[in-house]
Amino acid sequence: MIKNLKILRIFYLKLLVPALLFSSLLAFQTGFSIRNFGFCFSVFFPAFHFLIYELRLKNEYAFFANFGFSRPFLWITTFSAGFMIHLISKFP
Amino acid sequence: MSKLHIDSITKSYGPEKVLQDVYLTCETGQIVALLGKIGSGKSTLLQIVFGTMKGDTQFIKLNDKVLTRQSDRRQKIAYLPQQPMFPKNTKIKNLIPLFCNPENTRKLFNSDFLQPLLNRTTRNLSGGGRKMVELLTVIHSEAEFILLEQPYSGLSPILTEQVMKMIKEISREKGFIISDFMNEFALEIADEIYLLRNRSLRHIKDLNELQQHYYLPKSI
Repeated sequence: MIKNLKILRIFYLKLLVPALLFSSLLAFQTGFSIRNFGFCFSVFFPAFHFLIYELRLKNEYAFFANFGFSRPFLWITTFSAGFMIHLISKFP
Repeated sequence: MSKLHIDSITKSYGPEKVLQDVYLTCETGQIVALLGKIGSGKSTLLQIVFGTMKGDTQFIKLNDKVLTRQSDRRQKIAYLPQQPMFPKNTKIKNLIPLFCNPENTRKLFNSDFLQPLLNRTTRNLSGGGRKMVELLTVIHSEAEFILLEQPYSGLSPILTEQVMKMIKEISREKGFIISDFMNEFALEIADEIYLLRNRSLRHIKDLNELQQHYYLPKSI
């Protein structure tokens, strides 16, 4: 379990930093609110997944597959995380 | 003893058929070499076995369990692709324990080759260095079967020889399927040799058979 979390941390750390940064910037541009931030994050998180892993680091999918994490699983987790943040931000 | 059973693998890219009813078995304690020209489908076959690619038809069984999902292969089948796969910003000392048990982790941490690199990330290594780090980590992983794609590319002759010795030693407990162009390495360490040609696998007994199938020049 701890190993799984470490592996997912390696995967998502690369997405989390730019997604948080860009979501905050865009949310400030549109009058900052938690709701705005949540919506921006739900867009930027999958967008950075695509830019980073589909376009730049496609080979790294093989690393995560060695631990049983398939590409569809990682995509589903990304969309789910974005959607969850979006939902939570609607009910502050 | 574990047995990896690969059967009925068929794969097409559009109208072009790459693999047709491929059958292959590998047991722990065995090294299987997969030879074939560029574009013959070696990588495709290994990726289907590993689960990162779906075949048009496929049947992959490990002992009594049919492998359908990626998670079924976890800690059972490890795969090293030709291209570097390790995350570039993570230190090598943090990656090795993810693959290996504590005993093998200690062994790798104390190895002459890896010890000076432990605090570095793969981003700062040369192509050969990166290949060696990935190769040593994967062959020492907890998986029972190891799939290696062109494992010696980018390695110096001395390192290649060391790696071959290591693979031979580790193969007492694990099964290896190694794809390569280089017949001399395959002939040296493999227990079984297969040639992937015209979409199907042929079992090869000796050098003459490779010549008969136009994989080697007749003059050798």
